[in-house]
Amino acid sequence: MIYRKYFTLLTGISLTGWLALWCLGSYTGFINPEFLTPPWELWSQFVLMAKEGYAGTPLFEHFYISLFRTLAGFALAILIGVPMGLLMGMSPIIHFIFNPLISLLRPIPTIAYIPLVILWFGIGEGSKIVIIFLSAFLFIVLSTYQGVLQIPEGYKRVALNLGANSWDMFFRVILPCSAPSIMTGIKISLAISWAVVVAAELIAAQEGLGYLISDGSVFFRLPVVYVGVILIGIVGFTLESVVTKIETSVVHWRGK
Amino acid sequence: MVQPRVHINNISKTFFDPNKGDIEAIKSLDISIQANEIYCLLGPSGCGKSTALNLVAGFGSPTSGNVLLNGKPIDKPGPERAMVFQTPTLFPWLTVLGNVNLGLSIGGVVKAEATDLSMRYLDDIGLSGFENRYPYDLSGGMQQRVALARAWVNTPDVLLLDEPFGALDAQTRVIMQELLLDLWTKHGTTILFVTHDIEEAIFLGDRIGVMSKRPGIMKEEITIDISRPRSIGVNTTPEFIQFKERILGQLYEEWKP
Repeated sequence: MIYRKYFTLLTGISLTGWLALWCLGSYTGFINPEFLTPPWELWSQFVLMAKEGYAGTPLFEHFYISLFRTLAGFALAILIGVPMGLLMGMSPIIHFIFNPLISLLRPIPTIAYIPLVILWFGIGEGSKIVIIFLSAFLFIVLSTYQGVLQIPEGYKRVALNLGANSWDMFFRVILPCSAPSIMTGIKISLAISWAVVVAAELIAAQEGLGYLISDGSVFFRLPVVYVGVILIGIVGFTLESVVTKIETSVVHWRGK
Repeated sequence: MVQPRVHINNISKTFFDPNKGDIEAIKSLDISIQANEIYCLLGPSGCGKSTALNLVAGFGSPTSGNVLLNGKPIDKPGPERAMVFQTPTLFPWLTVLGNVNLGLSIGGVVKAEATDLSMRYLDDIGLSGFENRYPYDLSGGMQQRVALARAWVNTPDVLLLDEPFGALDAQTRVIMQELLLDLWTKHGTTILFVTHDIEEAIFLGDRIGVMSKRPGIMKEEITIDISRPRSIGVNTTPEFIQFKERILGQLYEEWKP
């Protein structure tokens, strides 16, 4: 309870503690700077990159392009995945058509598609967005579909008893009742999308945070790699916090 | 003769079970319920009383016979036969008011008008001030009151109750039974009440239909002429005990293996 109340404060204290330990370790020479760059060097590297950019591209661009790719693929996955999951949940025929294919594709890690997607879509923006889409889409379809299947029969009976037609049933029962499950799919797939965009950029990109890391490591610019890694962490954390905020306000009844 | 509000017209219902084959749940059940009457359908568990209620609600259709509402056969569920289920089954994404409004809203009643009506029913069930709360903030008894209002607000021709107080603790159950009678006195509704609780049936009912175990047939219809208004004190009067003895005797024959 106390932990919940002072969550932000305690999180801050914890992170500050680790940072202090890192500073101390670097300062005393306990941490080898060849493996882990001291915080102050990272900071000056970050300031330098923020001013002058990296590989001829402003740092903001690298950050922005990664975020854009993620959100574009992710939005597409929601737009197509949620309706498809709903349809699969409501219609046995549509379920029968798509489910075997989805079950087959789901265990394949998206990274494995990268060479194929590059072959089909080239190395432009399209291929990255397609990769993000693929990784988010299957999760969103499945969790939406599961959500529809788990709707208690009792809710449908209540609605029918009060005169609901198919339209009412969809908007008053099926959609709200599967919302928690849909939100779970969205949350998980956003985290996956962000991880995958970095992976895709490691392989084939000229900009983006993944490219930053990849390029930094090729030329053994360790501080650049760390700046990239930390930025990826911060963005990922921020994305998840935003989705969690949306989740708790949209599906406020979850877990109660 | 006056046309009954509800006529369960000689219905039988047979289910198919893959392991046991055909199961006859109800056999030749014939009940007439008059307007503003409280009719309690009483029987051992598995006697088909809930099946009968579901058929009146329009969930499924009888194997033979039919159900008439005001002389017309029913064919699908509808709010003129609003139902209160064993569990409250309130929609957790709607507020208390939103839940009570549900039937009116589906029926296309203007929102302000629906809200006005729902607020009056919330007042009747003693939950005014709770309209903007969510079901998870409410106790089980309060949730079932909301379910009662959600059905009643549609001013049904017949209110169907399927052991609505069975899951509540003894004290809450008594309070709910009295609340039901208060609401019935105020709004004058025809009620079909399914229960396995003998005292509940005597306390609430104008008439009780005692059913046998499967296949459910009507053993006896008993008129409960205990004067109204009734309060819980009535449960210890000699006439109440007499009814109880009589029904107990009927049901005991059914309980015996």
